[in-house]
Amino acid sequence: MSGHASAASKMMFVDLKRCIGCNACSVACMQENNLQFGIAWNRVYGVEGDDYPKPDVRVLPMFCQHCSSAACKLTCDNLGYRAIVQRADGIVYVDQSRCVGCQKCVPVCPFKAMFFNTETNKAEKCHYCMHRIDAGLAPACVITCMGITREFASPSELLARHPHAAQMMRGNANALYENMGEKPMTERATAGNPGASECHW
Amino acid sequence: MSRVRLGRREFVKLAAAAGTAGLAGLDSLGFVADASAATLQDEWIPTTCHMCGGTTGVLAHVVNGRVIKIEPNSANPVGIANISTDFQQLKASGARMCPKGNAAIMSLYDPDRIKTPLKRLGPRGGGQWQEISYDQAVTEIAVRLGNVKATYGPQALAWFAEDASFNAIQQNFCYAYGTPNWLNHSNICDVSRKVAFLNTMGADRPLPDFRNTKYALIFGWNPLGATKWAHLPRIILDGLDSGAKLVVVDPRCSETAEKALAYGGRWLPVKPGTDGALALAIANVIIAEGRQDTNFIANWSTGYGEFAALVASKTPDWAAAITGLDAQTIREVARELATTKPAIVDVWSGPGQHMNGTDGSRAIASLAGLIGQVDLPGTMIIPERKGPSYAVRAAPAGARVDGKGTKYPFGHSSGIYVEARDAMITGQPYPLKAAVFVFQNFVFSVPNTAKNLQALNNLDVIVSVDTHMSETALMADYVIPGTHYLERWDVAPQWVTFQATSLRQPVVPPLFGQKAEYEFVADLGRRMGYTDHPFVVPYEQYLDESIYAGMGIRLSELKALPGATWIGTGTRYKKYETSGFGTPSKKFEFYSQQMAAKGLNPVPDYTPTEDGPSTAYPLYIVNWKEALHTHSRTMNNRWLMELHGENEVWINTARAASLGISDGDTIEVENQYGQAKGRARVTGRIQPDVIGMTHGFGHWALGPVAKGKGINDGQFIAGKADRISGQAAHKDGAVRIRK
Repeated sequence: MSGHASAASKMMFVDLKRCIGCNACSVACMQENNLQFGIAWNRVYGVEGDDYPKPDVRVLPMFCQHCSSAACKLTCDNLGYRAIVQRADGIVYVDQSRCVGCQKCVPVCPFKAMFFNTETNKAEKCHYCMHRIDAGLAPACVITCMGITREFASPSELLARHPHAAQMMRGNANALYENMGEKPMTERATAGNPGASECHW
Repeated sequence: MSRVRLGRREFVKLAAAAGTAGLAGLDSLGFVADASAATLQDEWIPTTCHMCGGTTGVLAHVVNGRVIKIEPNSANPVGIANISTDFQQLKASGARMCPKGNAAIMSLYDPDRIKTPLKRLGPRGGGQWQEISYDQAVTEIAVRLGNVKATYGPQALAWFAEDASFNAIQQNFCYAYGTPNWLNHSNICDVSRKVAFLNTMGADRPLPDFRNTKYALIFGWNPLGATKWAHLPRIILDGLDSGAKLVVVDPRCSETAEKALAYGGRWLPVKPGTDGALALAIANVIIAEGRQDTNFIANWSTGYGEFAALVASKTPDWAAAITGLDAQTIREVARELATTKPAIVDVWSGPGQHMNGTDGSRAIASLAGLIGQVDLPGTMIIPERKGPSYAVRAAPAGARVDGKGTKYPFGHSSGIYVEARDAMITGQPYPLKAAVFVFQNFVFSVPNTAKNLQALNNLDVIVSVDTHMSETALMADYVIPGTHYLERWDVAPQWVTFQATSLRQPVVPPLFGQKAEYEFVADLGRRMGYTDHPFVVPYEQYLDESIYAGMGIRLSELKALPGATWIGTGTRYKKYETSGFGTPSKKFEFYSQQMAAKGLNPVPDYTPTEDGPSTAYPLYIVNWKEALHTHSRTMNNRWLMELHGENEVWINTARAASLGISDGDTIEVENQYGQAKGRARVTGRIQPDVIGMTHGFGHWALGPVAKGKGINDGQFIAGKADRISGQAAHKDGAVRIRK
């Protein structure tokens, strides 16, 4: 079980095999969070081989992994600003009132998930739609996902549907998300995607 | 490509600051309600999306008169599933929506919308305009159209209608004016498919039950990229997760072919326009090995003997030479198809948009009959629909300009755009002098861009109704500001297999006080002196009457239903057992008597398509649709353009190497019709003899975001139409490329 996840907290389970790379999540997030032009908290990466006629194509929807020992938070804490906060349910967010806009957190994120807003002069990123979660709603990316690639549920619900997810949760205390995080993917069991390789992110 | 694309090494490290195509520096459009203002109004209004023609159900969140969010509408099956039992089962898990649907507010509040009627100053296409009042515009257009009629006769007007609930009033306008030349979109979309299915299984749009199938063989369709109906990804992936095998025939490894491979299926990279040959060879193997459904054939089909005689010589070796596939693969696919049930065989616009599109599609449709996989769970289902009924007066007696029903014996009711275009140039069979375009970017949507411009330059009067200054609006004498779907009414009978119809309703009033399209046509009609129905009927009343006539409920009742969606009887199967197929013989027709009667080949023989590679132009050119864009009309949407702001020219890795082209190079694409630069995307995901690109980019108008981004595919195409259905042959073309 995830180190920080309380019984009430929910996790994101992303089935990469079902992701069609359509970017509905990206635009839903732009709508929900009124993002500045040029910023997409949700992005979709792809990688493909040149091996015609059986190209190995992989799709990777990427956003903040809400790491339990997040590089962005450590950096901010070390600078003494403490603008990056982790909630009891594991959500890592940028406290806009404390952010000084130094941008030191932006390059340290291994997932390129931290952004600098040139209108507010502050750092920002996916906060798991915590305003929606606190209102009992799933994140905007989840409710729009055409492939039903993303599941947002409690660890016990996810385990009931995906027993193999136990290994992911055990193996990575930071993961709110089934098959990526700070550790290489090769160290994880990958639900629904047995053919996954390190090239996936 | 809808993704940020990185090389493997960069991808692993996430090192490159790839980001999305930057539009930084643009100010916020301020579509979010002012948080400091007192909340006077906060509601969620159900409506029906029209960011493409898919009519997915949505909910609009409106706060203080501003639309701030669009979310899926779980009372509407489009976005959930296309089978009634699946819809009921999955409803609780919520509907879904595509990226275009999510970007609707960015087109509603696009600062580049046309806000007021415009009258051309200076040369046609020059972009100089005078803002005029709506009354002046309607009056002057009525006078100009009246003059055309007086001087040349009413047939000199061609009207290109938006296909919606106000299609009928546009048709009525044409017939009141006296021209038979009312046309709309379908003939540049999927009418080869329609004619093929109508003349085999007697329904022009059967729908695949992906969620309950075990095998799906689909030709030239990319439902996981060109998503259209937002439930398609869910039902396909659910089918795959339940063990279905997916086989995709396409010169490009589309998003759908990609998933076929990921789930252990197949991508069959055929040469463009050869799909019919593949289908006939599959039939050959099935029959040669005795794997056909003899029961279905004996009881529910006609013409099997003629079809079997046709395919007897269409061996896998014969098809291998034509398609570029290997014969063994063709045999394997035939065996899988015949032995894995339930099975889907479907075809859309890849094969359809060639000169041999109808017969190719008919050969494919015939496979479904051969294996008896029609109107059963997990197969191609014949939908039952119920929607509004619109009154249309009788068409005038004169001959149409576009050869529908004559030159094109099975020409669709939408007409033949390329013929109307050619008539503007040649004056044959008679001259056209005026054209009205309602929400149609004719210049970009009809193959052969140069010819389209030449044609419009020959006209005396052009009127365009549009939300944006499209390349077609730019050529007009008068431009009338159109409405966004969030500003207007409509009714959408849904493309699912059961009865479902949803309402589109204005969630905000038209932003610029402009009239809805229906109202413009009614106003113009009255100004022309048409005082009968529907020109004197207010739009809401007209809709109410039409809904009541077709469905037996009132507009107010439809509006009050959950999600403003009416659900009727559920999916029914094997309907042919009680009522037969909708063909003249009431049977599944392998042989079409009515095609024979019109001098066409009654069986779907393979004929090579046209305008393919030559010594001068050695590569096929094709085009496709993607999840982030609709036709040529979303390229000024800032959110969608951030995520994919330029189309790339896809080239096979080996082909690129032989031409010295690297990924990202600027290359020149050229043939006898056009010449333009594009950015190369070197990939293993396309057949080596083919290049291609997403349709709809390369604008010189539409708006500042769209302008100058990417390359226009339509400029390279001859611009003909399939001689049976009148379907525009968007995918027949050949080019040369160089660095």
